[in-house]
Amino acid sequence: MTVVGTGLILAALPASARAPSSERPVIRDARIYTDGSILFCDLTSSGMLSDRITGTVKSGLPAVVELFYHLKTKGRGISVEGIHSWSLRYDVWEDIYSVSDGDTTVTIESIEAMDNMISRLKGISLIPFSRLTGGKRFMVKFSIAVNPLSGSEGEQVEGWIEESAGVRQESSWREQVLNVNDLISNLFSKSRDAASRSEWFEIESAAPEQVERIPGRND
Amino acid sequence: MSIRTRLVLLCLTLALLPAIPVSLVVSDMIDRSFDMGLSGSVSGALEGGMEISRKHLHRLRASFEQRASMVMMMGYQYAVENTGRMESIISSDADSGEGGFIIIPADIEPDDQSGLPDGLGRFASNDKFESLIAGRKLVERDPIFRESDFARFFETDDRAVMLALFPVDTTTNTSLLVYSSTDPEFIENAGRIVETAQGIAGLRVMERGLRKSFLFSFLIIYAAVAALTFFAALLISEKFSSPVRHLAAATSEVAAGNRDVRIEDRAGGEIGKLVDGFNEMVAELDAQQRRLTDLEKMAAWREFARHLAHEIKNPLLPIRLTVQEMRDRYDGGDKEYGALLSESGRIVDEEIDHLQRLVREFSEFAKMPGLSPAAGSLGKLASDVASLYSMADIDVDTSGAPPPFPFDADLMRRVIVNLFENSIGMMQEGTKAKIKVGFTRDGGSAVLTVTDNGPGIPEADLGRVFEPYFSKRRGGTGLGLAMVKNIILLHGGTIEAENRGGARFTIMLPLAGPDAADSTKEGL
Repeated sequence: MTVVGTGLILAALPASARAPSSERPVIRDARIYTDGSILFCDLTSSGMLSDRITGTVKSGLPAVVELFYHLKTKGRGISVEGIHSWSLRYDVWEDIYSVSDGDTTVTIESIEAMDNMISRLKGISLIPFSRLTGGKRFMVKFSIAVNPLSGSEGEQVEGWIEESAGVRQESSWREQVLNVNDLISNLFSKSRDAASRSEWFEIESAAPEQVERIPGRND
Repeated sequence: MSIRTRLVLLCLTLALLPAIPVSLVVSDMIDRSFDMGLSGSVSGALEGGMEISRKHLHRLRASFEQRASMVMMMGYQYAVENTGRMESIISSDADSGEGGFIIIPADIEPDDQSGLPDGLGRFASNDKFESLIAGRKLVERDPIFRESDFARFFETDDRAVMLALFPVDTTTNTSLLVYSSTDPEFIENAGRIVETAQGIAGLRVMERGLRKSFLFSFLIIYAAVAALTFFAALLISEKFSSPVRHLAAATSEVAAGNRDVRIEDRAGGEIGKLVDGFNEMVAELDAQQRRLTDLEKMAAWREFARHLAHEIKNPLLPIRLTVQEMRDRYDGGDKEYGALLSESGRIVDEEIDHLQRLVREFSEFAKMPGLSPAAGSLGKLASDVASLYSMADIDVDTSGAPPPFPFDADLMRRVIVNLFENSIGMMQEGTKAKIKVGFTRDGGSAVLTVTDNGPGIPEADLGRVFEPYFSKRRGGTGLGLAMVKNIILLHGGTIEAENRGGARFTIMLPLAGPDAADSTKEGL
């Protein structure tokens, strides 16, 4: 019974590494501006690091913050969708937190400081400002998500459970059954992704010339 | 609701009913496992373990810095000259593993392709260094003590080996690298603590999804079970209900008058017996029906024979008397007329005799006496009858004859006589009839066969030989075999004709004797 129970748990792993909807972050404010060449935004959010995500990060597993944006102009204009992501890490040996966007890594001393940092994301580039031509009004909307155990980390935990339960060597038929579960679970993964994200935060339609200009403000 | 549907539903219910208690038990076990594994005390213990491990590592680092600095302070030359003492200083921390130092000339060119951090390239070809690093990645860390700023500190990414690289000694022109391995047991245990903490944290994140997914997996497994059960139940119910459905359909057909219907299902057990019983019942019903029909026909024929005998018999006497009177009144004057009268009278007498014989046979056929069954030996009866026929070779084999059983001996004698007469009558002139009589048993019946060496019966006539007034024999009335069949029917038996070399008649008589209560015989 224990083995079967563990098998059932393993089947659920790929599908369950998502935050429940009740712990979704909320975007409180968004501000767009330009330095003349790039359209930037600053975002203020809350509920970014739930207890579960904090526990995950403090155990040394990385979490990922994903910012989804969709910009479009009125009529037959442009429509741009994009994602920015940051990985949150904690070095359990050095007791140091870090936030990385892939290019740069910022080290932080506490989880509270990390929460504060990702709750106030600044200088996020959206599109070249020159693309907003012709005075067409445009609209931008944002959604943010904090996903623990995405990708390889989920597999790492899965491996740990398999090893702990001692089922890695005795799979076969159970794996076949559970692969079906994976397959069906993946069919619903899109809606699950949407469930772990914040509601879309929309900025009212504005004309390019109305965008606030802050020279040199891109960091 | 059909039996099939009921069986399928029953099987599905029996298969799926345990799913409810099983799901409750498994769900409860999973809840308990989660509660135990994800309890605050477990997480707290793991965090505490990580904290202790971290502090221990930092203490080892500090200790290593101090010991490495001592070596540095004593000078490279002293270290070279007192290797054993230096190594014992480096290894003096009981919580650390093997320790030592590597000194190599500073002018050795560094290996830029080694991928080692800056400053360590010239150690790449050193055997001791290679065995220490063993292909692991090296990361540089900041010194803990300000006094250690003059050295650079490295660790393998798994914290298994600590290194301290000191500046080049200008007097000896050598580089000094002090190393110390960390206690492997500590590394292993600390790694296990971190891994477990990460596993528990991961489980906490997945908890809700896991619970839902458990239900999902459970449903998948049970859906497969339900599907298998459904098809198995379908097969079983088909096998079980098919004969029953066929029975129901066949019964309807029998009720509609079709006595030829039979069920081909080869089901075993009780269903098979039921099917066999049904088939036997319908066969018996069919036989009864045929016998009844035959008896009814026979009764009609007998009535007809009685009427015919009466109609023919009545004018025969006046005709004979008239002819006699014509003879008596002839005075003998005309010889030619006298001859004609004599010849005509003879012909009329012969025809009247023939007609009287016919009337006698008709009367016998019409006045079939009632059955008087008594236990007797059919074999002996046949032998007795055969002994009366010298004009034919009759071989009666009584080895298979049944024991005495009830039958009407007079009527059965007439049956055997008629069969012998029929065989002899069918022989071509100059050919002596050879007749074989045999006996066997078939279940509850005695079987009597009479086989001759004659030309047999034309295939087209096989179905009609027992019909009254059907005869291909010259001078035959067609009543002999009809009478035979009538007698056999009265005994509750059957008779069949076939060709086996010559003609063969097979009679089956119930050993229990004719059923006196058989309503089919009443009124005949």
